[in-house]
Amino acid sequence: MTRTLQGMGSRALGRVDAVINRLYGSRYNPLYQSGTIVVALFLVLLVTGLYLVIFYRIGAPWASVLGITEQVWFGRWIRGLHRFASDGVILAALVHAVRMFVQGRSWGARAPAWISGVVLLGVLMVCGWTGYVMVWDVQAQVLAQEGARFLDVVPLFSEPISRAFVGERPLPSAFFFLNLFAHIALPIGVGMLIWLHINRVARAALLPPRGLLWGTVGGLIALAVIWPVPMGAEANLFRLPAHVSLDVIYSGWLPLTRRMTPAMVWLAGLLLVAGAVLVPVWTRPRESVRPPKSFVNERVCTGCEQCMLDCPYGAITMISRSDGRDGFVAHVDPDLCVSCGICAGSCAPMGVGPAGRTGRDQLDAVRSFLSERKPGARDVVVIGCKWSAAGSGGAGALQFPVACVGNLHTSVVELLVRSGAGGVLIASCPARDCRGREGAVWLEQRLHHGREAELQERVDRRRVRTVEASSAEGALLTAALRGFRSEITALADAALVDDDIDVMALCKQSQETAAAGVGT
Amino acid sequence: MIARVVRRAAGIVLAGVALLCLGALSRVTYDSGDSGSATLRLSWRVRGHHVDKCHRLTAAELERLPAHMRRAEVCEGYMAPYILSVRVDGVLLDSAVAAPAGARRDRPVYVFRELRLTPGTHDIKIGFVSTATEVEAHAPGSDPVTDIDAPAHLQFTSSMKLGVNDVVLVTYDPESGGLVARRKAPAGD
Repeated sequence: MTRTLQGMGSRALGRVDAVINRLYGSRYNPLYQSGTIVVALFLVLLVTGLYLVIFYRIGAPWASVLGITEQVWFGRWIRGLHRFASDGVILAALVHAVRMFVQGRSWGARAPAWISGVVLLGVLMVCGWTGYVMVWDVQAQVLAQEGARFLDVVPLFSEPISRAFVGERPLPSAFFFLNLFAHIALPIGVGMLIWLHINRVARAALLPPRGLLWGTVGGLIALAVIWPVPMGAEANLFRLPAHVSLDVIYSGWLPLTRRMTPAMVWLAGLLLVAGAVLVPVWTRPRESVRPPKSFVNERVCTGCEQCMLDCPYGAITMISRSDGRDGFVAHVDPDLCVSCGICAGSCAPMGVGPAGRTGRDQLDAVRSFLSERKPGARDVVVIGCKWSAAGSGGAGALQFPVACVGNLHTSVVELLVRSGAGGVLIASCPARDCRGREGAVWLEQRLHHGREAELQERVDRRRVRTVEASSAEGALLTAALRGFRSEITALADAALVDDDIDVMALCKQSQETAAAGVGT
Repeated sequence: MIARVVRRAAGIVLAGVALLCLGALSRVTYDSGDSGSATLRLSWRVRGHHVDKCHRLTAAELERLPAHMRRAEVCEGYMAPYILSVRVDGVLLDSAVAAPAGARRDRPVYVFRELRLTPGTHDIKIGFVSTATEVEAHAPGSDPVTDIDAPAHLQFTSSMKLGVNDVVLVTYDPESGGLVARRKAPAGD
């Protein structure tokens, strides 16, 4: 059931990603950047919130917000930006959560990130609700009355909270002070939760690329200017809120819960929260199909630290050797390892990686591959990550699959070229969508920028190509393959022309010329 | 080149549509279903009658207790619940026992109820009667009612006109010692 759901979700997401990649390019795909957009919008909320709080008065909440809204030059659009950013932050967090869920990135070592993410989403929602209550318009009244109705069934309060919102007594400023305090204090908690959420990943990206960042913020500002946030009627506890302008993202549940008893709401809420928190449990694969964690072959490890530097999850540390030799050896913490296999591609002597995916295992696999299919000088071998377009089959080329291109040891590429393959095309997921976080980035650096374990100088770079093509971007892979094939064919033809030249005769002639020159 | 321009344009349009959707989602009008009705809201808090039930310990009972815990008379107190009844135009619309709050039922009695009514003029009669009867209060071994402020019997009778979406609050006024109707909030603090 879970796998079916994940499979369907992954396919649907892949198609949407493909369309957005086509329009904006994978680097600026907001769906890939949903996590960083949350942080960016959170910062927007802090900045705009600071402005708004200067003008907010707990003694006259609605009137002060009305005053802000009537500031044509600043207040109106800053309030709008604050509102839209608060909506955007929830949407981006939900997209991020859905993405992690369908991609199966929610269990094992990633479970703390998932759970802190769920808590973060909850705190953001509470933060938003307190913000809406601050306005003290009709929506705030409904939210406050509904919230009080739910809280009254909790046997914690000596007096029913609902009685605060009946008009029996004036609503005290203390209520708005507490609400404002919560609205300001909760973001501090959000900051800590963001830190908790990302502290297990190395080199966590906090902000989206500049173009996307300013595009998002600029778009929200434009929306706030062109379509300002309306000012609802002031809350009136002596009028029934017949027609309420709701923010669906924060208050969309109101129409549903108003028909339910508080006990039912609590039950539904608890089930929802429990379901979300337990995702790491019910998405965890059976032990028999769980990918193995990385291990270190201490005999082979030189202590170069490259695997530690490359590990996207900070799961590798260097410890003193236990085999009597001096120096350090890599150590994988199985509690932090997600089995991405990036370390397998980083280790020149092939001493680290998940069982079955180390550099040595890859060389064994490629030898077996070559023994079955001997690629010719005009053939292109496609090495594809299983989540890329190559993983969804086709492309009409010899295929050598790997779990992630970040796993790929460059010796595999070299062996394929040296064995006569005309070219090697490596198909990866878009860099921001890599399941192992940094697979595509490290691959590029290993192939072209000398990062350990680098592709050796002796390998003709004209015969090695990479392409980013997600599972729904088969056409991209096909086009890349077609172009690369024609280049490889040209190289093969050039080699044939070279073969027609009698190299020995040319050498002999050259030596004779040189000797004659020396004689004179 | 043309394809790139078309893609750019499509990208801008998509971003615009996404932003408009965001803007629209933040202001959806919701009909709460309350439209066209009126509400009679009852909300008050009273300290009920505190009733102590005491009994004198026999010599045998005193003997069983440690020396420092021996008291001639032991009392157990509780707050008496009230019975609420609401009649609108002669029809009993609501009737309930309003029990004191707290795990030991020793806190004040809170009433909070909202009754939907059709707009118009209604004869409203509310009764709120303590169950601490004279008999109980003066029963042998019982202390008489200890809380002199506690109302034994509250009654509210009024004919009132309720407009569409109006909320009328009936609450306890300690100054007058009775139930009163309010149509607007008291002045702020």
